[in-house]
Amino acid sequence: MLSILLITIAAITVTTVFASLGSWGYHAFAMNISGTSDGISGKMVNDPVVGAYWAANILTYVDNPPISLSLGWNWFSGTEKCGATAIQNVQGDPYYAYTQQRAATIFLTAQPCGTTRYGLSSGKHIVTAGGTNYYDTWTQTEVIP
Amino acid sequence: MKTEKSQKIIVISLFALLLVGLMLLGVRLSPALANDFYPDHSDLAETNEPHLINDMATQIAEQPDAEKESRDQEAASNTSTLDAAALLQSMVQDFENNTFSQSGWLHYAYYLESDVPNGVALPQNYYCDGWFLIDETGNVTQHVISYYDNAGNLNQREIYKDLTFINLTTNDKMETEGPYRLKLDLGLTRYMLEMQMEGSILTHEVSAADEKPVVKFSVIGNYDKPTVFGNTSQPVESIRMTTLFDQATGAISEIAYVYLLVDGTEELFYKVQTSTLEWGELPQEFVKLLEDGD
Repeated sequence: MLSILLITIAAITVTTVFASLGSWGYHAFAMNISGTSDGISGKMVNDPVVGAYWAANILTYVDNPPISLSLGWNWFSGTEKCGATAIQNVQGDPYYAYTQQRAATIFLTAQPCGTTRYGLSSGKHIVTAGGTNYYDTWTQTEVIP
Repeated sequence: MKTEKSQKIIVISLFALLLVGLMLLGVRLSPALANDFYPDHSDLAETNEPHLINDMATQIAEQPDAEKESRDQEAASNTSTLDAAALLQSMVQDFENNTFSQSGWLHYAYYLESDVPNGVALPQNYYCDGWFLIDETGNVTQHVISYYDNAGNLNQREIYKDLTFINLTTNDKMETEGPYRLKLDLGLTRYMLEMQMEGSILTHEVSAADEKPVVKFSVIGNYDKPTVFGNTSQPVESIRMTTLFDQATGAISEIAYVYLLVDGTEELFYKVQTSTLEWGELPQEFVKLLEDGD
């Protein structure tokens, strides 16, 4: 009973790690696939020190232990919001191949915004193991200064 | 005996639970521990990031004349672009300080035009008409912003109240930690000054726009490799940003951002022209929106 409780707590805690501007947020979305490996999705919004642009990043990989599987994302986009109004959206290319990890980046020039600017990295991750597709769709949102 | 054994098991279990809890908390709070779970992948994403070329350093290095003359030119060049940066910073500061020296409802509207698709429901060219309640500290506590297309049709409307942006058209909501400061330069001059700090050449001149004298600031940034930004039609080699101040009022009248593409042509990312900046009474229909909208 106790071990179930511990495993549950551990799973909830490790599944979501809080991120901030310029650091990756992760989800472990496919546990114990192809043995003991995990499929992990990552997203990041970063703002280079110089230049009027920011970047939406996506990442899918297999770890614990790292092995190659068919993985990637069905879709990926970077969205800019001014307050609660979407002012720009850019679609990245989908990706799906046999590898251990893959990342991609979209660069967006900041649109004019007088209120608060938000950068969003969104996408649907996929890992395939044993004929089963595992999906994870989520969005990382950060304030762009 | 059996009860004692059970108590021991419970105490050990609780201790183990506490230990695991602390460990997981440590993973969240300590980057070093977190990296064991999730190794750093920043190298995967940033390898193709474009960087600005330090044009000021290049310009100085290419001076062909004698060392003394070169040093003089270097000093003159630095002074020129530094003067422009200081002037730009001071003019933006003065403009904002003058504008936010009183409180009440500020009516601020502009027209944006662009040659680049934005990929969202907002038209490519649109009017943005905003009413902002400025408090005595110069921060915005409420607003109503309406977006119109060229025919004057309402495309989207957003309100801000109770520290939350609410898009009344899409029902999208974003919470803020506190009231925000309205950026009357729409965020552009910070980028211009950052680029100047990195070696891009910032210039200023007095010219005319619509027969009115304006102070024009311009900076060109050259990237180390052609890069696709957003929905541009081709990779971008350079960018040019411009800010125009009305010389008589000190207000920003226009900002622009232009892509210089690999084929030598230009593409307008945006041009924004201020149409209204004045204090007034919030229209009754918007008063009701702020009372009702959530």
